[in-house]
Amino acid sequence: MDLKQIKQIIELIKRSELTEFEFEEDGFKIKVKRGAGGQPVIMAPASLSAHPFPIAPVPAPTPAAPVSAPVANPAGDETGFAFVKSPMVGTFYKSASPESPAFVNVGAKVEEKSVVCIIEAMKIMNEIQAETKGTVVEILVENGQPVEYGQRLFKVKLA
Amino acid sequence: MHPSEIIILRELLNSETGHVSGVRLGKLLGVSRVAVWAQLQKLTQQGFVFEPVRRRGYHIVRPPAALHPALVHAYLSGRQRVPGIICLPTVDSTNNEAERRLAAGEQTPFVIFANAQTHGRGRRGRPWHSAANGNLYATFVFRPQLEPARMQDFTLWMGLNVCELVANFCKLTPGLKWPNDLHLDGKKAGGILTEARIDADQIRDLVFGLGLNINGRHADLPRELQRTATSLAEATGAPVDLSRFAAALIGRMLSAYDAFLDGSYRDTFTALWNRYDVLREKPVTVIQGTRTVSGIAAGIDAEGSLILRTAGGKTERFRAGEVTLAKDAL
Repeated sequence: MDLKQIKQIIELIKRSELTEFEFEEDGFKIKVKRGAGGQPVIMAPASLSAHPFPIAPVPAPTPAAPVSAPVANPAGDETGFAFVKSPMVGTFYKSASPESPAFVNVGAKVEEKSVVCIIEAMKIMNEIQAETKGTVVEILVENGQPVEYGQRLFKVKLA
Repeated sequence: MHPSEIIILRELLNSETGHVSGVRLGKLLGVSRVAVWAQLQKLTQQGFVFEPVRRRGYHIVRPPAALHPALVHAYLSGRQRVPGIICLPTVDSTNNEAERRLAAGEQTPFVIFANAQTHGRGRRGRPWHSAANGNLYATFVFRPQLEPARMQDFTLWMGLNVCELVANFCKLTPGLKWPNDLHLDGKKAGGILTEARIDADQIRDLVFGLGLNINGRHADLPRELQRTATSLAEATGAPVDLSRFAAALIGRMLSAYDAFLDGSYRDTFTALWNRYDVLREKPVTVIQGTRTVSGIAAGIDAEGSLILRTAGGKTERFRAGEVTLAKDAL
């Protein structure tokens, strides 16, 4: 079980009628329960010590949104949407160079691996992927603008 | 590239006298002297000049002007770890090729060299003049699995190591112009473009691109670059053995990367930065987005941001941007 699979489980539960989900495999147990706002919450990744292989990326159990994956805000009008957030402090660029077209525009369909922008940080050009599947409905930052960690960059209507 | 080529070249490089007999080479390869002669003929066609000396054997008079993969391997023999080495005559951009090979599952670390690039590029997609003129276009590829926050010194650290290599290899005094240019005598001799892909809040692919003017001649440059660019050979007055330099670069970049990963780079980072910072105390102009600020460069802070002392004694910091040295500063 890796972070990606956990994200997928959360996405699946979000889109389903399930309120609770439990899964066990090779000494690894995950329990996800739908919170008050209809938001999936990881209850307890249990018995990690018995785990036969490292699962370092699993975050500590917290009642908040469990992973950094773009998950919809609990506010009612944002259900069904996800946000691509900046994983770092840096400068936002919508294209590979000033002359080339934007990686995505409003209306563009994106998949998990789609490159949506570049964040220049620490002298490194970082390609940012959507990590979600859907349609870009809003671009929330300007080209060349400084962005903060966790700042919302794109609003995506989930497919 | 044939393994026997590497063995022949390695023997010729490592021989104390510089000479190796055809009999010895034949024994090593398990072939006849005639077969050895045929191999040397092949290498001659690739640009090597050998001299057979009676009773002493062959020796290398001159290596090929172009990068020679077997010679790079021969120079690296004896090293414990040798990365994958890919030498291409021409490519769109070595960074693009790196991304294609990563997507195809190539094992890291690996390095791509090209004699020419058709779409060499620098920061923000600016073109990097990349004719087949004896310069080096290289990309090193790693998969570090580090948090992005740990990457802040990476480009500067690798750039400082390129400076060290040039200083030791060519007995020159290069400098690093924040954030990613290598300077010699106030002119640009190289540039760095680091690109990364982030997955689940970790750096997954790290692509370190380097364009280095090695044997490029001033007269071959486009006129608009003649005032601002130079090469190692222009600065030393003699051509550089490209394959030997490439092998030394591989060794240096891999050990620099190791020191970066285990954190030991911090012991020498500041000293190297102080040695190679070409902007220090110079009047400069920084362009960041639509803002233009002039002042005196005052080094970098803990995050690698450029510190600028502006008029009125104020201090400004820049995480990214274009820096121009004032004309009278050079």
